Amino acid sequence: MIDKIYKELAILLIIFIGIWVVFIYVPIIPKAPENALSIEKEQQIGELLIETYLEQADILNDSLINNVVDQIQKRLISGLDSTNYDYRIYVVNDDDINAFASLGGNVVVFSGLLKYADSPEEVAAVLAHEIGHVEERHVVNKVVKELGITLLLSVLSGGDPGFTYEIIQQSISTVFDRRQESAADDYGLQLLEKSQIHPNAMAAIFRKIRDEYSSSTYETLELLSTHPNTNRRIKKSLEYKTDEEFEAKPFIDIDWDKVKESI
Amino acid sequence: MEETNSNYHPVSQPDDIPTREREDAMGGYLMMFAAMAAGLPLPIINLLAALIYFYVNKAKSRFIKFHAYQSLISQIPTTMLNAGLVFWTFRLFFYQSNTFDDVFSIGSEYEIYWGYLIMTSIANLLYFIFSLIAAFRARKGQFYYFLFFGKMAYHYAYHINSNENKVIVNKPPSI
Ligand SMILES: [Zn+2]
Repeated sequence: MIDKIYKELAILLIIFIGIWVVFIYVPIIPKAPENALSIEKEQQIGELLIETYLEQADILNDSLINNVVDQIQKRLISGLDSTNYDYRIYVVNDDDINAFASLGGNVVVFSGLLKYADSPEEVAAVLAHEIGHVEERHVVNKVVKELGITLLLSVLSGGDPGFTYEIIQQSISTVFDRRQESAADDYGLQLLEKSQIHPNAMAAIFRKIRDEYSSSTYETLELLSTHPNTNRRIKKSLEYKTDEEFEAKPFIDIDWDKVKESI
Repeated sequence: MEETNSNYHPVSQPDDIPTREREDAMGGYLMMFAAMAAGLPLPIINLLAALIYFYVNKAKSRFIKFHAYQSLISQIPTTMLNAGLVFWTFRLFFYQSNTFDDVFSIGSEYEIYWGYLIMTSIANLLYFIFSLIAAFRARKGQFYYFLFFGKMAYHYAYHINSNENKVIVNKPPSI
């Protein structure tokens, strides 16, 4: 009998390890908090937020830069099959090499990123990543999780402007989790390919950011919020297999050196 | 060597088991619930309580010994799973790093964690249900065998250790 009981132990172990493995593949994750906010509402709140943010931000208003960002944006939008968002990209004077997506498809790029990138493709790679966060609704997910849907909706009823500012700060400062970063990377890489931009551009810019912020400050940067895996992210971008028919289309109208000089 | 039923003490029938004994046997299970509730933040507490209960009661009768032992050993894996869950949750909470990502290709740490969480919940639920059934059966003076743990407890409580009451006198001749 004593031999047979080990058979039963084995059965128990197999059952429980089986349950574990099954639920790794079939995750029962609590209902996505982002579903509480419709895209229309998100756009409305997003507009209020970005207005509040831009009031105090140092917007870079240079026709050359605006034109360049516009071209990059157009190219990326052309790569999106369909989107519910009306993307707006703003350039703000700030030396950090960073960019972030706020609610409703509003994306802010810091001038430090433009200054640091060696090509419009590298900027496009960062923007593609941010668009990934928007399309996958990570921004809403994050803000709803942290502030709750009621507080968020109260912005629409003309709440306290201090609070509106608080929300925009939240959406900038808090980091996404690793799974979201990874999903935004995947989305970005595919978007780059569909926009006829070589996905390796993402590796190039990530590598530069990593080397620049080798130690302390990186945690606050959206782009490097998942620091320990930066190498892995770079690798993923380098290993990304483009379609055989893929052909990169350069931004022929952009003189990047001139852009960098003008910042 | 083939083991037969003669290697085990006979099991007693409900009529032979006094109420007092039934209650102590049932207590083994019910006591775990109380200890588990109290020990939730630190799962080691209920294990200690279970051990104490077991040592206090095991000598009273084989019937009690069986139930108390089954209850004790069946909660060890549940307790370990719970301890792991507490530890892992804290780790995820304070430390967002995802080193697992690089180690296993099956999923991110969150996915592995969720699977673990669900498995642990199921283990706790099963433990709870089966313990209640066993407590109820013990109260009626009956046996109730869990998968694996039941046989182990039976073996532990009823097996006749050959050295226990057989003194070896005769031996075959040495060649
Ligand atoms: Zn990101």
